[in-house]
Amino acid sequence: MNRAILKEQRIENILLSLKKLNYLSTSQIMILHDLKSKRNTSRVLQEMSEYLHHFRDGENIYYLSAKGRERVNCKKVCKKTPQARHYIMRNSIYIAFGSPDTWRNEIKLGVKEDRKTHIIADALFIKDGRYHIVEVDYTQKMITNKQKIEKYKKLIECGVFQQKPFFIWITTTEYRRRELQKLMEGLDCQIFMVSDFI
Amino acid sequence: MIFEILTSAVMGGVFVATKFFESGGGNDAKKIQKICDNTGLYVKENGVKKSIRIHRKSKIEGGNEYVFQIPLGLSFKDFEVKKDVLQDGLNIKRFVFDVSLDDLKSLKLNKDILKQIQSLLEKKKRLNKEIDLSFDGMLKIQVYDEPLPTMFPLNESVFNKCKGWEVPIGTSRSEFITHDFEKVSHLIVAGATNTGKSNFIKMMITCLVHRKPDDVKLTIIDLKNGLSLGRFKDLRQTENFAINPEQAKEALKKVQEQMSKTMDYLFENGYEDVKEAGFKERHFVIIDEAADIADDKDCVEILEDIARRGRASGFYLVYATQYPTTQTVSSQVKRNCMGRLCFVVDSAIASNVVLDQSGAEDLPLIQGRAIYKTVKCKTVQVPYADNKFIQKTIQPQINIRSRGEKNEQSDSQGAENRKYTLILEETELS
Repeated sequence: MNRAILKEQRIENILLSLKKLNYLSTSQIMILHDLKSKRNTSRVLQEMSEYLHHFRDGENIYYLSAKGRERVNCKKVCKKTPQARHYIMRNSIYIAFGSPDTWRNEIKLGVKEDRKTHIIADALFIKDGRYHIVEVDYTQKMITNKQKIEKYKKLIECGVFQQKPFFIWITTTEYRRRELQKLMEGLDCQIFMVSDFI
Repeated sequence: MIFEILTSAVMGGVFVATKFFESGGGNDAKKIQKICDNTGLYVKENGVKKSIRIHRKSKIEGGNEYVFQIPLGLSFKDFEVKKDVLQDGLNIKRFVFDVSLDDLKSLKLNKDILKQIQSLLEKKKRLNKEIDLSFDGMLKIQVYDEPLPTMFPLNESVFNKCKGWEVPIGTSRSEFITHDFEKVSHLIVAGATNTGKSNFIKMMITCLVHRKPDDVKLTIIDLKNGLSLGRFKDLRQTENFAINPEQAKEALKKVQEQMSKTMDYLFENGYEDVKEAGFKERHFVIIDEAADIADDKDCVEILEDIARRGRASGFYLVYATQYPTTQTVSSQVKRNCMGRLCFVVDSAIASNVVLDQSGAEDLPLIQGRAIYKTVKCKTVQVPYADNKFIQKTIQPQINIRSRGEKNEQSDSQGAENRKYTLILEETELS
């Protein structure tokens, strides 16, 4: 009986983290839910397959099915999309920073008085009383990144942050990393590459 | 013997005098008449030539005024068109003695009387007369011996000539002209580049700060990137200072809020305007190179609002731009700005845009020469404010606010010095 409850709990937890993070790869679920091995993870996910869909992108990428959405009351519908990589990259950061409780995806920042400062961060969390802003650079044009960074700088100039926020970027190639480094001059940041987490 | 000498001297004198007057010397009235005859400003009635008749001649400050009767069949416009003919005719270069009655009185009857007379005769002058034409049933021609000064330096005495909420506009030939914001609350300043717009604004701010240090509030929007009006940034009277369109929008929004509050207060207490309510404070919204925010809809809306409702609530607009067409000034704003100050522009069309009449294109290329219009147009020389004088005048009003770079320490002071609050919203993707 107790085991059955624990099992249900685990299923629920996995579904909840999928609700929060939209797409998760097998290895990410393994780390998040402490499932010890890839094989075990696959088994667990296989058992709860009625709640999940998956497709392959190097490894299985899971997302909630209609039933799964019903179970955890998730409104957002995920589909098989190449965009999923963006989510997977963002999740790597989530895991790397130890799954912060304050983590929130796609948060609009801005100043009420000025619409032009509005900007949507890929993710945001608070650590040591400091805002950490996560930006994923996947198939993004450099010019868009540049505009985004300009906006952030403007926001900081407005003095809305008590302490300058810390930026976390995740990008795909070494060259892009260097470019971003240049653009982020003067701001505290850390730039990861996808290869750091594989 | 003596009699013969005297008579021949008198006859000689008469001869010389007739020659002198025939050639139009000495008497401007006769000269004007001659010019009019020569340029066809006369009518023929039954074969009889009728030209203008002198009606009155009087001395005015700096020259003479001649009043002529116009014959039936001519209009004032005919004369206005020929203004330059008249003016140049009066200035045709000739040998003119610059001897006044005072000079003659100062002659001392002693041995070297001849020498004195000789030195008097050596005093010659270049004619450089300027004329003004006006019509009130008679043709009035004011002939000024001296042209408008090309430089009208600013000093404290200029400020002291103003009363209330007046600012000096400049000096015309006959009088010192001020702009009274209480009577005409909004002002458009226009003119080609480097003709004196920014200088006028600097002078105006200096005057207001000098005369009403406790009552004046300023919102300065300098879209020349703050180059020309940056010196006023730290004045304690400056409430908002903006150098780019974004900041301008912020500043204007603040002004609009304040204005609405004032309006509500006035309404609740049944006052018609701030004058009636006895408010001493007046808020000036000064925009230099205003064309930069003309395509921003929000800004334009607020400006229109200020132009419409600003007078009653004590918010006065000063709008400077090079060329106030409909693209750069919304027509709402323009129609509500009765005061116009127009420096040199390049064409009659441009002048029409600013003043609703031509004239500004004929101004000489002198910095600070402008036409000021409320109801009638007046040509003025705007006072030149040099930066040293401005600095000296506004120095006592500057308070040093730490607006420099924020360092870590000032950041840790917490939320007091934050102007904005951060909003965090979930998006549909969250």
